[in-house]
Amino acid sequence: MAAHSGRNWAGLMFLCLLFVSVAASSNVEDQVGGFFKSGHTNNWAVLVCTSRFWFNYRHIANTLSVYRSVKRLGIPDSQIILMLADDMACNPRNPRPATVFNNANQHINVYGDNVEVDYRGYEVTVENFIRVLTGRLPPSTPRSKRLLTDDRSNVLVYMTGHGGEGFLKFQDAEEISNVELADAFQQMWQKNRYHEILFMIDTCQAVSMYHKFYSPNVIGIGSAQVGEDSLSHHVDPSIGVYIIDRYTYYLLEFLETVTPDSKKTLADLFRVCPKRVCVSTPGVRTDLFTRDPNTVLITDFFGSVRNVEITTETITLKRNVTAQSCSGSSCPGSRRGKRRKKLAYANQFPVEAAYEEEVTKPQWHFPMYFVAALSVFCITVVSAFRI
Amino acid sequence: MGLLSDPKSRERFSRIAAKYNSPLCVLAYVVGVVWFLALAYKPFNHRTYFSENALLPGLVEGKFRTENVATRISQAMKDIKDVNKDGPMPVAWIVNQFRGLGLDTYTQEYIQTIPVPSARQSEEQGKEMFVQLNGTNVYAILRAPRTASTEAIVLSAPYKHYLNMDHNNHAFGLMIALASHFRKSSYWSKDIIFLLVDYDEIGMEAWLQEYHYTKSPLLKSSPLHGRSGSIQAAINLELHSDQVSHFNVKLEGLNGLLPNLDLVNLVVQLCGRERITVKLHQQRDPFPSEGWPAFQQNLKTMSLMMLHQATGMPNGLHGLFLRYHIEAVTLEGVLEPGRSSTGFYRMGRVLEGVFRSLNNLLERFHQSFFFYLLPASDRYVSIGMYMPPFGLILLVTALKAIALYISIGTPDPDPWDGAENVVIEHIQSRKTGDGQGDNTDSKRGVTKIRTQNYSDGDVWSLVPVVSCCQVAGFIASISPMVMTGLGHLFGTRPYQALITGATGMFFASLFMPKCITRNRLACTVNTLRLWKCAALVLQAIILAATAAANFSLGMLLAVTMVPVCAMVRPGKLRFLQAVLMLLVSPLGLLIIYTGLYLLLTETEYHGVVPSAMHLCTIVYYNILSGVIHGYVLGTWQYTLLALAVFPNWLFFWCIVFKKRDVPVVENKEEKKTS
Repeated sequence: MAAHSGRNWAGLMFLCLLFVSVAASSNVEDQVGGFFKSGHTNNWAVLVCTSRFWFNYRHIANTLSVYRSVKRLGIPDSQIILMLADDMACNPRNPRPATVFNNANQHINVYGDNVEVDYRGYEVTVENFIRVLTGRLPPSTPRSKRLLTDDRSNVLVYMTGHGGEGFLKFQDAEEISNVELADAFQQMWQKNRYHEILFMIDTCQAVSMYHKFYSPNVIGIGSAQVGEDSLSHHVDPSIGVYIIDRYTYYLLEFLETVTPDSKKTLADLFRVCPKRVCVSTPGVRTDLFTRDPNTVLITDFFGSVRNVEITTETITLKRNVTAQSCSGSSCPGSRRGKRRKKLAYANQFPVEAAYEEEVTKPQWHFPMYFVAALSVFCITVVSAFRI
Repeated sequence: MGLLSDPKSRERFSRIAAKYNSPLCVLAYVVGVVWFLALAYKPFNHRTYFSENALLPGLVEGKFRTENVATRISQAMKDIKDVNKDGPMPVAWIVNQFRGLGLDTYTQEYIQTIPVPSARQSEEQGKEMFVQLNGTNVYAILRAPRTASTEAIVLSAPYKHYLNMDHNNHAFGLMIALASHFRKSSYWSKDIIFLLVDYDEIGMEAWLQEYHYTKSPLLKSSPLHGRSGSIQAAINLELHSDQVSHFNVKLEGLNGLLPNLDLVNLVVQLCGRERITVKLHQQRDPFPSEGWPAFQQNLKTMSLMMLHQATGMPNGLHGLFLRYHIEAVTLEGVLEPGRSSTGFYRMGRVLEGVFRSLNNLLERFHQSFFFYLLPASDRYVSIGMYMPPFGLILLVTALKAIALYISIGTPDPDPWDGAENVVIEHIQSRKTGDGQGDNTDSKRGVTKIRTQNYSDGDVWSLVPVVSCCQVAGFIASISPMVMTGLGHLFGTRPYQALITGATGMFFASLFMPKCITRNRLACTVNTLRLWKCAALVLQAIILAATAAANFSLGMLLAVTMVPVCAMVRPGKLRFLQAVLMLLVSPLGLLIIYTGLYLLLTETEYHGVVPSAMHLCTIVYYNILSGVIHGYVLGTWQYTLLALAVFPNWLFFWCIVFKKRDVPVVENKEEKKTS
């Protein structure tokens, strides 16, 4: 909190003025303040399934299950970037079309209503993933595909797929290394794109993926140690595939008990899936994280509990005088006679913008080398005539 | 510095190769053979495993319940057959069965011309003098409901087993039952083609050719009106009864092609899941899987597989798919009396599981081995394991050739040691001691030698002998058809004429050495060394190339031909050498290996004469089918034997019988006199 107080930050912030009685003011402040000590104001989730093909059904189910949980706990679709490398619901091999289940009992269809997949199929690439994290997306990218975080955002990054020591395979073509991932987080930090990150990965040798992290306020959770395989939980014989991975299965079992107002902490999350049920050994890395995991609520990452900042000072809001009184040449901004540009909605289609740009551009444009070549030519011609 | 480019080490190497040649050769051969046989022993081979992730074998629960349909249909088909025995395939009835299930059903008619003059038709029709077979294939396509028809899998069955004229109605019943079950499911990602084939292999070939738009001049067929996508895999079904005690899994395809090991594993695993015994070549996996009896059993299975593969003839309809890179196996349901048996229900579940797994495939089979030998259904010997011993056996040829090449130009008769020395001296002593007797002969030899450079082998002397052998081979390759044509004119029965053509050239060429000798091609020791060296090099190339295409054929040829061919030399013990050479001639090998096959498969022994007769009959049919399959299906085994192996063998045959002209006499005589 202190670290950020001096910063000039923008973004979503709900300011609430509390009127408290004079007698009990300091005591209640402490009590109320205890709930809101996290320092974040908004929650985001990046959920990535990196593997395609029917036999990797479980990875899609993993991701969709986490998606379902974070959505249930309150993160809206607009703040979830869901990347699915394949479409299991529409796979012709699926005996239950348009569904994805995460349990052989088939109680919960995790592909139920209102699943907003932001990046699908071949869009799920290392490049896109890094671009989403670091915010370096082409201008044409719609808002729903952007991670519009700020320095008060808590980000949950969940990844699953096939990995090895120090890498995670994307599709069948490429892989992201742990160094690349660590650098991406550092860039996010430098660009004030997060407040805290919970990085969770369910893959073979998962912990190797967070070993190289060096940015502050990042927690890493991996489903398996280096040298261990992360295993699947069970087969659904009616669908004929392994339906979910062990770590995610127990994670979900835990998350189902969490409600938006629950007081479960990260320490409870770390105890999910012990080796006796997981077979692999989940790992945790908290050394980059400044707070005590015992006091950090699960909902700081998995939910979207709006934060309240308390102030005892009275803030007098000024009337925004400039908008009304200023007009024409009397405005301080248009002292040089510049006309104010008319406000309009941003263009939905980048093509149009590009077209307009093209129209406004000068029609004739000589590149430098052409001008240079022309002048050399002219000089040669002139000198030739002289001789 | 490489071994052969550094002059010093080369010299050392060549000295060692020359000095310890015979022991090295014996060592390489013995180690190679023992190593290869040991591969059938369990600790030396590996357990099969799935390379292809996508198959997900047996994860899905079987839902096949329509076994009563199978019983009903197979009974109905049997009734039709009983009424009209040996009649044509009841096409309309079969089409109705498929249409009744709502499948896209089509028929394909074809006429296959077998380039053998038919005895009956020729007198009536002037043009149509060849045997013609016409038949009709019926196929039905179950369209995958949620994909475009870009991929397909095939379930095929022959209408009859033409070899034993056994009807395959049970397989058709099961096929219809599966079709009716598959029809209800929505999870197919590939079309399923149900194909009932008339006239075994020819019908299958006609269908496949038409499906892939390839044409053969001898096979005319009507176009396919219904198509699907590229075929990923095929299962061919042969059931001898409605109850089976085991599935005999047949793998060997055209020209020794094998299906991808993953498909074989899949079938074996799913049979195991339904507790149906799997056999390879009717050989059960040994139960205590280690120990001497188990090794014998494994070796037997592996040898049978090799013998089958070496013929290059498919032992089931699946074999023809392999040419189009479609992985396929045949499941032959056999009822062995006295064994517990299972009915359509379990068979259907096995096939359902196989098809569900194939349905999961994302790419063509490519992960697992294409070159392997199976000593048991769950053990494999991969190409990486069987090639080194084969290489060792070929090393014998190479070592011999190197030693001979080094010895060319040296008066030192070392590599032709032992008996050779005796021969040389014998000739000399005859010449020097006898004086007058052989005078004319030797004088002529001497004068001739003087005209040529005898210190090196005469390379040009290779040309006539090699070309003669090749011409003989070429004649052998075309003679069956020529002879049937000629025999037709003289009224011989076509198959006899064909056999005469195939073997006649072989017998005729046995007299070739005589002709060559009469042609007075001068031969010094060095020339003969060069001849043998060239023959050995040729042999190594031929065997290595053969093994790359059809390992079993290459191995079986190498194991017998290499030692004999490495030993033969002109001169002494000519009769023994001739006998050995005849044994390893293409015909001799055919007889030997057919005998071995019968020994391994037949349980009863009837006595020498009946067995020999039986053997002759089988050899006769093998030659016949080898030649005819070459024309009809495109197997190249006969052509390979005629064009490559036979000329090479003939070359050695000539060397055995080559009368050596007087060797480097002058030097010796000078030495003696001085």
